Amino acid sequence: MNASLRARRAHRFRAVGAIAATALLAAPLYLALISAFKPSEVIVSAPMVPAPLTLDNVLGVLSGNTGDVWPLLLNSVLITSFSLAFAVLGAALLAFYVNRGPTWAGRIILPLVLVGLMLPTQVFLVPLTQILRSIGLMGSLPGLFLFNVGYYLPFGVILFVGALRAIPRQIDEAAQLDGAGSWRIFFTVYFPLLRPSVVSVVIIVGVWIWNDFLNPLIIVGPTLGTTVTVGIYRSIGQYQSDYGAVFALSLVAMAPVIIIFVALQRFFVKGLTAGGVKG
Amino acid sequence: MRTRRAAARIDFAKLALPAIVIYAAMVLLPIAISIFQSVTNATFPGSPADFIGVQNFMTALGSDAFLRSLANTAAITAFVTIVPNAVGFFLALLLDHPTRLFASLRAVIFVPVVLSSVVVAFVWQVLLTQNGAINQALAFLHLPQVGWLQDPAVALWSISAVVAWSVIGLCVVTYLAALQSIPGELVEAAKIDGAGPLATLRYVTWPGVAPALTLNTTVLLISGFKIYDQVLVLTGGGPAGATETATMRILKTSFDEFRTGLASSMAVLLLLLVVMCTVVALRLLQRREVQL
Repeated sequence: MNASLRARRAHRFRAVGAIAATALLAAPLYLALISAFKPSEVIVSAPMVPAPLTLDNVLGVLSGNTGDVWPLLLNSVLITSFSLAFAVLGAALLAFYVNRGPTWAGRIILPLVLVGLMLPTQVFLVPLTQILRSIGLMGSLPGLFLFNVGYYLPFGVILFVGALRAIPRQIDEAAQLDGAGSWRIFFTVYFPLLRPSVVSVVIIVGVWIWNDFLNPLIIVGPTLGTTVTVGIYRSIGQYQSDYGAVFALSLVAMAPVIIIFVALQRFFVKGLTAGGVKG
Repeated sequence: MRTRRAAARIDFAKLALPAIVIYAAMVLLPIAISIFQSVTNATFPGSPADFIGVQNFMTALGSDAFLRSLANTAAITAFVTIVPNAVGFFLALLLDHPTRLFASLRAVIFVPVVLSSVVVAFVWQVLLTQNGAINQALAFLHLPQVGWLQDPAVALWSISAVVAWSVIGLCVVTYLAALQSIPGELVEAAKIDGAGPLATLRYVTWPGVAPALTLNTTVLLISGFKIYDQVLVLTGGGPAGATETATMRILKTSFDEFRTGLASSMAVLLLLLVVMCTVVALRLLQRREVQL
């Protein structure tokens, strides 16, 4: 047998192996997808069979009958977009200071930022609620917004500090000679240079905030004025055996994230591996 | 020169100030308050609290429930740091091929990473119930049924496996990026030297993905300590607290039992554990990278 035939056979084995492994790992996804379109009675009894199909579950969700999803989606969109915008901006400005400011500041701030990244929220959730209550923002979306900005800063700071290290200082001097104010310098000179990192941070932190569960639950509360992930959690308890409803709700809630992922795959990958894997 | 640097310093600080204030108020201050409260007997917020020294810490360290929750957290974290990491590496090797098919496969494997933990947990809860899909498959193969979420001996590992499933894609992507950054010449040189696939793997590939190993391990370690949502949805901490994690115990102690001081001491202990583990792991991994 010659080499090219051997190579092709090896490749075929590899493809089969890859498809098998992926199918195994993706089986739950397949189940979740079809279950959204099956009547609840058959979801558990015949989980892998893609029949009989019905649109009832999804229509129930989209019409607002199941779980009143539209206000939840709106809240998720508002919280995610505003928190993201300010968290990214704040992270960039803070990274700027850490990297281009006096070294003593960077030495103090960076470890403090890392601590915030490492710690589970539960460690400081109770005092946080006390603080929010004292400024009258407990149980409200603005309270969640404020927390998100603070809590999701660290990731952006780490990424931006890494990116800023690669931007030569000569640019600082050239930019300042122009005599423009600090805001203008930042936006016209640095922000564009940071764009790849900004995209990565926006995507990753955006997904985190959209999928966030415990923080909206505790800060905003389990009532109607909350985000869509809390809505899903609530529906699990509410629609005890009506699995179809919960699957449909999950599908609608996750659709935006999945669509964005499929469209922007490259940026997800680039963002996660930015500077981390090239030694 | 000095005036320019001084002017630069003021500008940057001014821009960064709002971010610093918000971060301090929403993260650092609560942590500090937690540490303060850990040495008091605080209960409801607003009720009087006295300084009681390390009593809370003694109570926490003598509490079976808390110690078990720490053990659970340690077990889950260890599983989630090691298993998807290893499996992800081999999957990355398998999927490292530049065709459309493989690109789609990689995308599919990554989807669980972007799903909400609540959704992931719910899907798996349906799969793992007594007469769910997994047990049905076992019955089909004439194998005994397993109480995946009901049996105290198994439940913790079921939860760990679910979390591992949701992060494998992340490990695969990181290892793939590292694999693709290994210079082709190194692999060629190894082949010319007569190295078979296993030797290449051991002497070229494995050292080459060291940065990915560091990144994955660190990220997984940090995420492991934070695991909460999946436990809540899959078992609620049961049966009878068998799967309760440290984070869950802390929240129960503060929100259900209203013992804020005690909860804070548990939080401080967890904080120390997380920081210690992360620093040690990072040191070990980075030292290894330097050696390589």
